[in-house]
Amino acid sequence: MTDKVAIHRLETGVPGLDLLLGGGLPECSFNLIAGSPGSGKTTLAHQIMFALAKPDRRALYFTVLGEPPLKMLRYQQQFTFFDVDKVNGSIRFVNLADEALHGDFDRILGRIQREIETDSPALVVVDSFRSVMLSARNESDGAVALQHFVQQLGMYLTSWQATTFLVGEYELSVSETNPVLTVADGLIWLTQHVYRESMVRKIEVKKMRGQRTLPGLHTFRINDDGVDVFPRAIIGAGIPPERPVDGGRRALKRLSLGVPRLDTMLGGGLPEGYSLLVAGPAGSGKTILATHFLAEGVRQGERGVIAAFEKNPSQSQNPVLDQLVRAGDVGVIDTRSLDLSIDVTLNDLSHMIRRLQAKRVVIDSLSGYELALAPTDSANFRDSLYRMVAVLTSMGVTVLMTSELEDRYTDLRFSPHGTAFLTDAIIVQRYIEVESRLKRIMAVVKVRGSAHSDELHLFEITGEGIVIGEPLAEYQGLLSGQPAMRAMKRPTGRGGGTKR
Amino acid sequence: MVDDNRIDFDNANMPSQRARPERQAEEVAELALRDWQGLADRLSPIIGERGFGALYARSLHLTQDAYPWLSLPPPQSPASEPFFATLRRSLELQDPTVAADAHRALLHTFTNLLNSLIGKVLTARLVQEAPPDGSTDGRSQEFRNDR
Repeated sequence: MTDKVAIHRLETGVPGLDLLLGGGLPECSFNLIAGSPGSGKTTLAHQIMFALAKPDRRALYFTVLGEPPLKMLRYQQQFTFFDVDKVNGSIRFVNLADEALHGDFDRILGRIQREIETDSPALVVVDSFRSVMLSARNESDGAVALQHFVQQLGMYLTSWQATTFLVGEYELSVSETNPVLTVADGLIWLTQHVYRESMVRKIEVKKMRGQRTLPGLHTFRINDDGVDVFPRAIIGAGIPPERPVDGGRRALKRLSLGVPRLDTMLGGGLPEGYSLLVAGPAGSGKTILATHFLAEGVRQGERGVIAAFEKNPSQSQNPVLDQLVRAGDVGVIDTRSLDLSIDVTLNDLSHMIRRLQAKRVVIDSLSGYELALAPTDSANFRDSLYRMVAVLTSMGVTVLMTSELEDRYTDLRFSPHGTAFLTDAIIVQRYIEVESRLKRIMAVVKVRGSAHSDELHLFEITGEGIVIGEPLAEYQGLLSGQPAMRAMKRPTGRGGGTKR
Repeated sequence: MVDDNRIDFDNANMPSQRARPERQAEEVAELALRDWQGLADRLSPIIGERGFGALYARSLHLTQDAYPWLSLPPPQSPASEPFFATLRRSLELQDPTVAADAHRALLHTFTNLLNSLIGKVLTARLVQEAPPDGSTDGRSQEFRNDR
């Protein structure tokens, strides 16, 4: 038995935020929501307040100077969380502009105390706190008076058992010396990262006394429902499936890609939970191979998810995929924004995978994905991708990623991102010239922990999809793009070598 | 989200309906002032006295087209006694029916302005909520008795 006090944690109602806070908001804590203008502080405060306020947990929202209350109410009510029925019921707004104009902290504190004693709120928000500070009549006196004021307010509100938020605009540089920050139990920092022409919002829980917070910057968005936080994926959230051991002693289930012969080339199919990179030049059939992979999964009762960064599959010239999507067997993450964050994509993917209980995931393509990412994220694309692959495979899904690859005949490359090492398996597609015809070849470059074919096969794209032909054993120099025959024998691909 | 049926502000507590024809302009002005003071008491704590004052001044300005004799208030806080005194003086000098119509128009403009800024539902919520002393109930009773 313990006599230690149990700290009750409140659910903030902001998707993802409780995870960042280390399990919710400690009751009776004295918190600061800080950030630059337009970073979403007031929205976050409103969202938390509307989620928590109820008749037996009343909230008081003090507006000081800064944003006029009418404007604040005008814009905040656009969010779905703004429940008008709670206004003047569970939630009361109080304007302190007149007290603040005189710059007298005692007067502000006096009014706050009077209102609190009238209402006995369990939640108190003061927005914005910086305007309280600025209203100090002169700076040297102001700093001391402010410190006194904040300490008084903190003490007062804690003894009134109120969970408090001070909303304020603070520069990061002055933060260390700010007395408000010393007194606060929790610091939630909102920032906007602008790079080139795109903007990504980030949230950081800098401090939350007694809580094991999720450190670092996390992406958030503001949509019709308010703030939506995407906690940065932490690798190791799941247990990766056991890797097969070559020789078949503990070989795991292998998945068919739905292309005859390709499974054989992979050594019996793609091991479940693997990530596969399909690299090739434009038009070589990467998306078609990905479609085979998804369609075969559906045929075997496994749903799939595709994150399409190149074009919207439902509008594409891909009737097979279109049908799978329409039937609800394949979910689509449609992403054509140019300021995506990798955490947002990963969050969307994870949700859809869980919702559909999907087993197969396609990312088409990494090149399009890199383009869609905000420059801040694309700068460390490789790191982000590593995280994404790790998280996805730890969920137990099998991932197929396509990668646009410029045809080079002087060196053998599999990925323009240096990402080849991240994946468990690689299939490469190339164009070659044979007897004045452009032919496609395919080879399995790597299947981690498994034997696989090392042959180069001709393949064609027919009305039925990909058809793989015989290995090109009689040619040499294929990867130079200009193969030479070892023997006087025509290459024989299935379909009679005719190009469609 | 907006429920148009929830507010019946135009028909509530309006002096033109409350005031009997034989009423004097002073009575109309007195009732009008009570309405305005009640609104100020309810809205000023939420939107600030200056916020309320700005809305009131804008409403007067807009209503002056139809009732040019309505004067703008002095630059004082609505909490101070003389804030609505200008309105009282303006109304008292008019025919009671005209005064009641003008007040009704002013109230209508004010409500429309607030509706356009924060929506009908929230306006109703902020304006019609009974203050802790229950004075709204008292006024409603008076209104019913008048009719």
